[in-house]
Amino acid sequence: MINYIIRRLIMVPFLLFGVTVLIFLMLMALTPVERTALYVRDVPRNERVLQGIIKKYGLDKPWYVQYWRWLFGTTVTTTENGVTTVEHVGGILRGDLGYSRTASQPVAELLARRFPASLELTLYSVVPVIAGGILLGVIGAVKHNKLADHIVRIFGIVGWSFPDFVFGLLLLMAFYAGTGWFPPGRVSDWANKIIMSPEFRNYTSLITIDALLNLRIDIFLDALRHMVLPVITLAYLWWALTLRVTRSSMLETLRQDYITTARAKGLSERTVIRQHALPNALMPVVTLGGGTVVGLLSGVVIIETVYNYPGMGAAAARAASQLDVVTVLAFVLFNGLILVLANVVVDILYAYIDPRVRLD
Amino acid sequence: MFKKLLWPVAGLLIIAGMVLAACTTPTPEVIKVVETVEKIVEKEGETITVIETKEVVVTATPEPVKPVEFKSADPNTMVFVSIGENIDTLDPAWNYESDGDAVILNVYDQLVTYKGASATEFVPALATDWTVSDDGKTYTFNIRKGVKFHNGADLTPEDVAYSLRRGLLQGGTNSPQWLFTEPFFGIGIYDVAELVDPEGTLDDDPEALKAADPAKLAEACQKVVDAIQYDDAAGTVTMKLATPWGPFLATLAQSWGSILDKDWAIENGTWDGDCATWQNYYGVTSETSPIRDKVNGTGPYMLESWTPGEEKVLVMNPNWWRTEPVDVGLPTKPSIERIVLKGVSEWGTRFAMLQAGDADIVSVPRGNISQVDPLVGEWCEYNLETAGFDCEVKSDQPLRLFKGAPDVSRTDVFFTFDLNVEGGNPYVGSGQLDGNGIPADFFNDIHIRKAFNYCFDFDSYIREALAGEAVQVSGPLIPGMIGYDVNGPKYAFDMDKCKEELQLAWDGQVWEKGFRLQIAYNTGNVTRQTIAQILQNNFASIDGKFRLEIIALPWPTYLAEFRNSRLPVAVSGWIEDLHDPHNWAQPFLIGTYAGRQNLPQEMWDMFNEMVMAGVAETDEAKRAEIYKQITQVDYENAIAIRGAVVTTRSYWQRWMGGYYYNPIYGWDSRYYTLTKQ
Amino acid sequence: MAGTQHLLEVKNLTTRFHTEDGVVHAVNDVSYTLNEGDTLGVVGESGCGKSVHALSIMRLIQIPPGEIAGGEVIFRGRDLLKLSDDDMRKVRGAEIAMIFQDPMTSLNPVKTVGFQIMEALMLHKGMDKASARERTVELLTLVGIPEAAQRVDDYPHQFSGGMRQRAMIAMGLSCDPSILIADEPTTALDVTIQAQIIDLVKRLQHKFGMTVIWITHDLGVVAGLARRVNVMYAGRIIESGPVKEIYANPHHPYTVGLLGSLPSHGGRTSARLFSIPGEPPDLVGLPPGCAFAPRCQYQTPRCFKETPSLEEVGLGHTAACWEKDKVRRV
Repeated sequence: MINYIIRRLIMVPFLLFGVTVLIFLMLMALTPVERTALYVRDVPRNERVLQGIIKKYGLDKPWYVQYWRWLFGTTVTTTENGVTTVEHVGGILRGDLGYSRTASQPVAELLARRFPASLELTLYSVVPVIAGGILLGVIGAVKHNKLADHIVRIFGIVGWSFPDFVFGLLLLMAFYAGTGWFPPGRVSDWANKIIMSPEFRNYTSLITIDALLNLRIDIFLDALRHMVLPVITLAYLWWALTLRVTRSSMLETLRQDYITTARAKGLSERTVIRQHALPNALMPVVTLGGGTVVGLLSGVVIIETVYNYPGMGAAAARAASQLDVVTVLAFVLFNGLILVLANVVVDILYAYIDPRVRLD
Repeated sequence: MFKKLLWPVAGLLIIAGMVLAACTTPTPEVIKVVETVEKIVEKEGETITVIETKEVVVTATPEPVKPVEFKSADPNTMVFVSIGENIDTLDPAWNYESDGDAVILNVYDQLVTYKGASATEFVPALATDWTVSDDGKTYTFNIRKGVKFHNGADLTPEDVAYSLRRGLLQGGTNSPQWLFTEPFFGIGIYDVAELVDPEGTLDDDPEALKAADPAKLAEACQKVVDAIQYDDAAGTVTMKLATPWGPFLATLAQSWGSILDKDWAIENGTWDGDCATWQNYYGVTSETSPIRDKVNGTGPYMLESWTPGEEKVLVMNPNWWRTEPVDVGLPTKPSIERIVLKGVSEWGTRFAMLQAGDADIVSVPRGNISQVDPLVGEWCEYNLETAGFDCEVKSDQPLRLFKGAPDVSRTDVFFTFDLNVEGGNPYVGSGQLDGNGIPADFFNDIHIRKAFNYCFDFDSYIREALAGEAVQVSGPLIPGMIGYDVNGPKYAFDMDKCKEELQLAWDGQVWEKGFRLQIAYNTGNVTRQTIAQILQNNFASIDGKFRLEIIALPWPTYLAEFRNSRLPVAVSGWIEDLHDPHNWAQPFLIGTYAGRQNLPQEMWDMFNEMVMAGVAETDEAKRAEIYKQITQVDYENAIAIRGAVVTTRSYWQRWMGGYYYNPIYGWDSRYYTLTKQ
Repeated sequence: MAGTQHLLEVKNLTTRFHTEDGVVHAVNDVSYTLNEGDTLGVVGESGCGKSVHALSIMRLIQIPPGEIAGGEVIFRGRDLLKLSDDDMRKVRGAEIAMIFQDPMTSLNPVKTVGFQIMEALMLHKGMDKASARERTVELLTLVGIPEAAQRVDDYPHQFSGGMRQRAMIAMGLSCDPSILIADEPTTALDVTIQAQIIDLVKRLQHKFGMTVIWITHDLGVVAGLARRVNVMYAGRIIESGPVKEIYANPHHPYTVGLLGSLPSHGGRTSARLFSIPGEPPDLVGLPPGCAFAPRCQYQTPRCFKETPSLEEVGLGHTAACWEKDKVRRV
């Protein structure tokens, strides 16, 4: 088991390297002019100035040189009024992902603001979404073709078919417009004021956790309040997916011989399902769960738009719609990283559940 | 043992916890509401009493309304929700967007400002009074004493001079500085780099500028310094213009005339004030300006935070200097503690926020007004003559609608004189006056131009394309500016007169043979398409031989053809930079559009003389006269069909008060006059 | 031999399945008795109902679509078919254990073999983990698995086929059941291993005095193991009796056919293998009369109208055939 984990972890840098190469190739499809936005905040329209910048950052050098520079940055020497300054600029490994035209700030700053928001939403959604879906799927499978199964399946189909923004807006109308219970946004204005003030220490950038660490229960509750509707919307829509996969996987598992063996041993039905059926049935769900988490972390645009939640999805979508290539590529890179890591975690989880996997 | 149940139970607990959290509505910190009090100010022997009002302010004819019953949950914070938050910069010398203005005009002050809702009269701001020399080229301002910046520093004349000099020297052809370079250095000079190289090769090129001849650089800087001089002892700032300039005060009153604290700015990395180094700060762009996201002004509000893409928060400046109101009935101190400017892109969500009372004003897209109108209890209609609103309470619904105030853009129909037919021109048909086309100089005949004007059904256009919410304008200007006459001359739809003009055109040849030409608009623009259709229908209804064909062109093509004077009839629009008649007269009569229309030299010369006179005239009354003349000449020559200006709608919660409309600011209010209950 | 009370009495057991295609009559009126220490072989082709009848005894039939439509299964004086679910669970594994055909699919791949044996011990014998583990190691050793103490933590896929089946047997035996039902346990194994397993079971049976029901389609296996045999066809027992008797004197044409189709051990190798002509019947629409009639060389019109019941043809030897007297071993 340990070997397996180690082997998987060793793969990670190579996979990450592969992702960066892929992104870099996409980047190279742009003209040098477009790529200047990685180094310079405002791309000048003046032709001569542009060429100067291209020369300065070596945007016309061979691709391997550029790849290196893209990763590690360039050293730029400028002489002004007899004073020579040498500075090191750029380099995604140094944290410089370029400047985002649409967000009016460096991409790294944008990510640093948006990712924790998405992470927080994910943390609170994962359990309801995945656990809820599994629970429903198991119910459906165990009560196969009975009323409970039908209810579960209909529930799932409706959830999956319902357009998320419609559902979101309906929830807003029902639980907010008239009553003000669950407002859109991440926190209320009064809470935001406190969070932005110097007395509030941002340990994790996750508002709920920071609120508890700062002993502000009121802010903690306020942040939770804002997440209720987005989580419910997410859950209702994504339950269907987990539910269906769990259900069909469970149905198939229940047909297996070892289930009969387990029953033949006199084990209670609950034990049979829990100990014998579920671990086997959950394997496809692990993959799905990994995908769900990645999807949540990359941002859920529509939920974020409807609930005005400042997550990754809305930022990426806005950049894409305005052709802010630098930002889009940075997001792709970041999401690629998350995906690689998530897959490793999924693989390890697999090995934990299914010992047969540990062989390879 | 219950491992399987643990997850769902935990999930349910979390959800239950969230529900519980919701039931405990958070208690915001209780802050004392600052109430303004009567103030009696003595100024030059007069006693002015200022009273804080909680009623809707209508400048000319105030009508009492009763918002008393409407109370908000948080009267200390105003929330304005628009479609998005994405300004480039808060550096006043660089900002050229109205969204940026919304903040800058509230956190910074200028030397002068507008008198209430008037777009033509000025009252003192950071300057207490000013004099203009007889030749109109020298302005001397007395700078107010005792004014403090948000960081506590004192305002001095040096700050004023520094602010304007720095703006000019920072330059940038995409910035609003060209509005200063023309009056200070001469018409046609759009950037300070042109003081170094008049050919304009150094524009926007900081590297090249730095490499220029140091003597020339120093000279250019010196010109700037000489043009704007200060005297701390005397408390004055003197500005010397290259030419008399009517719009000068208007330019100073805008956001790019904001005054910074020199020490603070230098601390944060702007130009150090030394003519030896200015070239190092030139061409700093909107995103790289060091004060792009920092504010230290003298204004009634301070910038508390700016989260790009989400919101900006302003807080009240309790030490704001203003003691005399900008107009009768307006307050001198801000009353709302916090202003939150949020961006929410989804209409449904904005609407929900309005209904929940979490938003005080929201942007309503035109297509959704039918959703919001049922919630409007108080209807306020803009009165063009009084420049105020007439309000009527119709029900107990919570919203108030301000409608009818004119926007600052217009769509016209342009005729091209002496069409460019080189290499063939597909829009003129046969190219001859044979009933199957038009000659290149078709529109040189005034009767044709008048016929088009008379055959255009303005009412139908306004009703159908603009949902009835627009006003037809008189002349090339738009309402609410010096020289605009509400009752000025304009064409009315008259089929008989249209026929008459057609009969007179081209010595009767047109009436005999008819014509055929193509009228163009840019693909997707429904308003412009509708205009074309109206003309087409009306001419066709006179006789089928008057054929207008409508053609949609992709925008780049459309623009190119228009610029090259190849379109016989083009529908196009303009949004103003500056609410000044020069900003309308210039492009339409001698500048951009005149060029595309290929106005005959004589006509152009005539217009040029009048426009130049208008811009140089500093006496307001005289200026107004000149522009009225211009309007008359424009009407008589009918070089285009002057269209309609769309009127705007703005939806507010009825617990808000203190709003007045000034076309300069549009819907970006001066927040300090607003009240909230 | 056994006392007067039978250990197990199956009376008129009938099991049906309700499917989309109709009602499948899987087990029809099966009756027999089992005494302590007996080894009963149940033989027949695939689909003859031998496995289903065992599952019915264990009440492991999925209801729906299955249905135990009638009969009694009296074990130690109690009718298992009438027990509550809880009571039945106490019987399963503890008093009657069942092991299955394919040990690869019959063992949970994600649980260790030790766990799968231990859970029965902990459930039925109330053992704690440590004692259960000890006992498991003993059992594994007993069934001939080397290095049992290490292998107890191995997963099924780490065992060879034969080892797996031994582990299954260990699992079946773990709680000292009175009856062990083995449903084709060697079918999935190759011949040499088969022999080992059969051997193992015989030894264990001697050692513990277990009663065994061995279900198989292979008469050869039965010969080496069982003392009595039930031959089933189309859900019915069509012949029953001591193994030697049946092999020497089959009285049902089907049995004859089965015996004839055995590859002869030590006979003429060039002789063609005999196979019973025709196909097994469709259990959905069973026509009246003897189910084997269509394929039978002794068929008479009566065979198509009346269903024969089991009648004595020798000592403890019964057959259900109208022409049983005519039937001769080929």
